[in-house]
Amino acid sequence: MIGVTFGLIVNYRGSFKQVSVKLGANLRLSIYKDLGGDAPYNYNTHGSPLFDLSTNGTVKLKKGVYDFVVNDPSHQYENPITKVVVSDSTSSVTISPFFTDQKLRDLLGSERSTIQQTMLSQYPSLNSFYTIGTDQLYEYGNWYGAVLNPLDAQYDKLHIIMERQGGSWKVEAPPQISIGIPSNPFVPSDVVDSVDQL
Amino acid sequence: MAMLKRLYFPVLLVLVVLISYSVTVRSSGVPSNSYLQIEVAPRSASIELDGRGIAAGKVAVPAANHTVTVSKKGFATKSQTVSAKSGQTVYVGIGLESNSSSTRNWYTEHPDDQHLAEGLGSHEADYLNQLANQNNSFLRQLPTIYGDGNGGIVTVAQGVPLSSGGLPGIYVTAATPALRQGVLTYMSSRGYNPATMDIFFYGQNNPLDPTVE
Amino acid sequence: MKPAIYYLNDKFGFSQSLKIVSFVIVAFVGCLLPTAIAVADASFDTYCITVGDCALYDPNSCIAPGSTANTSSPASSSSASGPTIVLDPGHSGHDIHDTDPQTGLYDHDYPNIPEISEVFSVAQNVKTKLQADGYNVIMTKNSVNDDVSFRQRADIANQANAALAVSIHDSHDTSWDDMGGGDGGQVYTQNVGDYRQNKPGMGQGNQKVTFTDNAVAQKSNQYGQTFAQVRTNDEGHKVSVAPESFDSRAGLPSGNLPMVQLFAKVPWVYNEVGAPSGPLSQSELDKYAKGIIDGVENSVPISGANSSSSTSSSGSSSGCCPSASDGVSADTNGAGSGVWNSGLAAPYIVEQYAINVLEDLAQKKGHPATDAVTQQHVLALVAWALVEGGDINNDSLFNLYNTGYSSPELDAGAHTANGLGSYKSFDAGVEATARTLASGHGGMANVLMDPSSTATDFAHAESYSGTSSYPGTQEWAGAALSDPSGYENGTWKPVLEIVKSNYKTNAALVIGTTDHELIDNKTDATKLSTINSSGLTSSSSGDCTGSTQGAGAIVQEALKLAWPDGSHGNTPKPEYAAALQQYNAGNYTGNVGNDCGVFVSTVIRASGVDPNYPQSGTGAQWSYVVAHPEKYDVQYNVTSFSDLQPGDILIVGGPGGSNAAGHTWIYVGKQPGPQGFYSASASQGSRTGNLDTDLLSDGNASGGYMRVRVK
Repeated sequence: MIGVTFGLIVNYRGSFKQVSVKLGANLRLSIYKDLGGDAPYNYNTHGSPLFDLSTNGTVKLKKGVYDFVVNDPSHQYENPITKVVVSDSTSSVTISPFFTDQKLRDLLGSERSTIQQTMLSQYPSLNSFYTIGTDQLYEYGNWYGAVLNPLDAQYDKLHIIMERQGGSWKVEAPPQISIGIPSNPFVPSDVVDSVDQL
Repeated sequence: MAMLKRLYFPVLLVLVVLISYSVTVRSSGVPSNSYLQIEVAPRSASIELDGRGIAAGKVAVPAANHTVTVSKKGFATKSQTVSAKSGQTVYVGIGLESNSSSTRNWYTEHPDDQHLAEGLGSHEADYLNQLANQNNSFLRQLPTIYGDGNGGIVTVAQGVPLSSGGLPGIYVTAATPALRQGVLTYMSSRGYNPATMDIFFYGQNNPLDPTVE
Repeated sequence: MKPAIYYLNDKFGFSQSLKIVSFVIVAFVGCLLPTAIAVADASFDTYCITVGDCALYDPNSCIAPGSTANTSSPASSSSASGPTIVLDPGHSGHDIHDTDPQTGLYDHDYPNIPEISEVFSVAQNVKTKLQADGYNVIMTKNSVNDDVSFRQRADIANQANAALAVSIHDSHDTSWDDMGGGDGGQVYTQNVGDYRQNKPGMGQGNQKVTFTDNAVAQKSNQYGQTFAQVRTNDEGHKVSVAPESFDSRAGLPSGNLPMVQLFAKVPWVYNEVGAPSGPLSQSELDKYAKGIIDGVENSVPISGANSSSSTSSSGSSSGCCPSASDGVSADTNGAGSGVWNSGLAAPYIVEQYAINVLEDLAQKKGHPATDAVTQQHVLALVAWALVEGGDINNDSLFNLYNTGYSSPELDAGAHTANGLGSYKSFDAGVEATARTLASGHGGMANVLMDPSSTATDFAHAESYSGTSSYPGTQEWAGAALSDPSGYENGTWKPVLEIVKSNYKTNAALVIGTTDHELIDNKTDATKLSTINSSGLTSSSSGDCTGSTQGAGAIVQEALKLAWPDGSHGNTPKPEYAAALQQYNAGNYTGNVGNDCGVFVSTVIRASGVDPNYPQSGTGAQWSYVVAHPEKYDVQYNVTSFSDLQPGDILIVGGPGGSNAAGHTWIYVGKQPGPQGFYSASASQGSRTGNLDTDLLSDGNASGGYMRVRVK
């Protein structure tokens, strides 16, 4: 009897997973039990979440399906809700939805001059040879890509990628005709792909 | 008392089963579903994988970065860090070079090790070849050459890698910005995405990059 | 239209049509053979193109309605660039008593009747057949009673650098079934240590003159064995490789090797056959001739010829001949000189333009269309479109070759400053190009009027036009004029390879729109000629690319020894296994050659380019080529394939001694097919020689690849 109880307790404890949750910067996350069905998510919006997180943390979750909901009152995130299946092999979950295209455009409007000033301080002669053309922010506005259009026909159309690290912007992929993913392993490949086609 | 005795074994059995089940469930080991195929020369060199001594051959590892270090007295130690992806076998072939007068003619004096070293080169080449073809079918089109419509020609050829990882770089010879841009169109119109490759353009004039020829 | 075979039967009767068809098959094979041959040809590409169903306007397979079938001499002539075979029918018309100036040996010969005429007629039969099959044949005698000393016979073969010399004798007063020792025939070979020595009183001095060339002896024995086997088969009696002895022959120096073989620097097989006191029958002479022909062809095969012929008699079926309706119609433009009327409608493709230019040019030059519209010429003009990039990569519509020709009835508008401009239609563009070629560009036009000329011949003419090579011919491309050789090797050669390996796509590029169709990949394969809807494919081997004789030989040997792909693992191709035995015996690969250095060295040795190339070990090979700058030009740290030429050897890993990992392979140029193989290599323990896509990535080897080019 003791043994059986002990075994049952042990078994019960074994059905929970310690899940380490990595949270993108400035995000607040609530974890709800998913109520089933094959919609992208299905949780009781009036109920209480099982967990609230505002930084990285570890939560104990029973195996099953959950909705990880990023707090997004102003609708600035693309895909703020993620359906997560916790199984035997689950040990960590990363939640960092990107901004919507609109949010990124708005951000760019206010950030552009800072970014381009940084670019010019790195390439002081840039304005003699190029104008900065089509540009775009990516992810949560921490990646920037732009086209440099030549002022003279002997120069090529170039592409450049910058990243905001800490509080300041840095050139990650210097101006070149076609930026390659293999030689830029720290730049998200979707960003390289998109910048090359700007 | 007797009843307890009779229950003893079944209960013990149940207990053992439950504990072992829970232990199994609770241990979350990282699966080792990548492999490293390690060959070294000289044969007697010592091998360390992520700091622990191992023998040459095929070894299962978790999908992650791993460092293989090979050393032998009289030879310069060599290390290689590779990134193993799930389900992949990464070939690691390391041949040591003499850094002492006592071992200067090691390979000519040890034909078996010379033979082994010979194999490393071609095995590594085969591995890189296979990797490249898996990653980039555009390579099969190369080298290619065509007229630019004005008496000149454009060539697109594969060549030495432009980044670590062993994938060949693409080298373009085209005389004008329009022709260079045309090469990117040439690739994409045939279904190859230039962004997935490292491309070097000979002859471009880039005043913002002092290293460009 | 009925299939040609029935047409032939109706017109010519059964046996004649059978002759025609077999001629056609032989001629078609003849098309394959000479152009698939190697080495001795100092120029390069002799690539032979076959087409899926039918040779595109192959004059040898095209019998136009109403024309007389040509049953006379076959397609390939004695000016073929095949291996050189020397035939040496025995004996001279008069007694000869010479002292050989080089050795002092007594050089004595005499007429031997009826042998002298029998073996001469056999030699003539052999010569005719070998020439038909694409060999270059030289006889040591031109008529039965010529007086030729042994030294002169050997010199003929030596100076021609013959691949093989064959003596033909018969031995009367024995019998066809047994000339001695149970042999109906015998074969004598060169062996190291064989000798002749003057008997007292003859010649000058009595030194023993010994045969010492091991390489030649090996070949002589290898070929000798082959001759013995095939002659046994063909003649119907036993033929053996036998020792020879002159010791008891009165009036001749003693020893065990015929004089011609002793004096030779080339492999020599000496043949004897038994005969009664009377003459041999015609049937026996024919058998003897066949045995010798088969002996030659099996010893020194023409590459690609010994695989079973891939031709079919459907090659002569209908649809192969240019349509009678093609051609200039009477002045549709009313401009006096006539404008080409192709009868085609948009969309137009490169291949159509190429064919129509050839037809128009042929008419202007007074040649039948079949002289001009050959596979090789169409290939040349499709490749030329890529080289120039006219229309498909610039804005000059219907001006594929960038001609500056200007005439109001053809021009679409003013020409640009550099003379290029668009033409108003496909027909106008064809006409402008044909007129340009017909006038002032005779060097190129004449090549296109010669039905036997190849794409490479045209490439050469285009590169060298305007130079002393083609006097009176203007240059076409200014870029070529300053460096014709660089243009030919760096531009034409790679483009030809690309078009060969991907004919359909390149030939189907659309023309006549403002797009740059080459860049935008705009094709219309439905417009490809139905004759070659399967595209141009290569014959299996024998591509003799390479800018030098050495490079060409290396490429040819590599293609011969390497499997076409890596599916064979450690099992060597039979040709490679044989070459290993002969040139690289004793290597550590258990004679399967699955080692990169062993493969490369076997290719280099077997090709004849360098018998001393180190047998194995990339370190040793690296050190060797660096130490022999008289033979090899090396470039360190080669960056990209645009620096490579077919025949280049690549080595990585540094010099021998302290080096570690190394690899070596041979660049053979892009091969046809979707895999796009361009290298030949092996890998230790995992694969023997096969075609592959080796890279310039050095991995863990020290430093980058070194590119080695034979001078």
